[in-house]
Amino acid sequence: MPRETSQAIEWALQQQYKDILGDMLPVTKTDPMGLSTKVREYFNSNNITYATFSYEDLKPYL
Amino acid sequence: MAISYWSTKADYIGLSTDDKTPYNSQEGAIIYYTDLKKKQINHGGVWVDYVEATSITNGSLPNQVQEITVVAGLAITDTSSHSYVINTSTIGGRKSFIIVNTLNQTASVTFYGGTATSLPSSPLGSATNVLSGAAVVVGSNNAVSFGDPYSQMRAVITCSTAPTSGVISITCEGVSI
Repeated sequence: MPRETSQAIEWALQQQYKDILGDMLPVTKTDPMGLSTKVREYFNSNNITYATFSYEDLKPYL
Repeated sequence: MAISYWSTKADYIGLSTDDKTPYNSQEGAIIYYTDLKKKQINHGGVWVDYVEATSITNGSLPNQVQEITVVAGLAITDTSSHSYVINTSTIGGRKSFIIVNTLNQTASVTFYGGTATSLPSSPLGSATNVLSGAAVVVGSNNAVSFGDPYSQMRAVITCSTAPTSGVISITCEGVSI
């Protein structure tokens, strides 16, 4: 995982995301879809190179 | 693993402390540590009552729907195959898979069924294409063999175009045995 992962998670946990039904939900540590989605968004926005990852890869940072 | 039991008479309730030695309560109930099913107990040669598991940690009670996370929040960035082994040994037969895809590309998901030590190369049914922004349920309606028992299964996810945003999650639902 990129060295910016901790910052990405910290940012993600302050965000909301739109779930598959279109509802806006707060991102939490126990929500794999929301957390991974927003961490990816952070990487993209900050031009951080990353490989395929899942919620399991984020757990050590939580 | 910890199991709680219910009975109309508390004296009948007991648990072994390991998976080998049965527990003998004062009233004669013998319950193995891993005995999760409803069990009739004998007292003085007469069947007197049932004991029944009512709760469990780190596992599932029999005949309750169990949810197994196959993969959660997978942010795919390439066109490689991503393979996940699923322990389905505690599910009796019929099972379904819920796939939620928020990747910005279609994901193709193929399932395989097998034993605890090997998985066949032939898939169960055809691959399911899950469009971007879609949630689908794959089950016995898609492939008859999804109703068969397997010790383990495998899910393989591929995207023909590398996604640049979103994630995909798969969960398995089935009735515990």
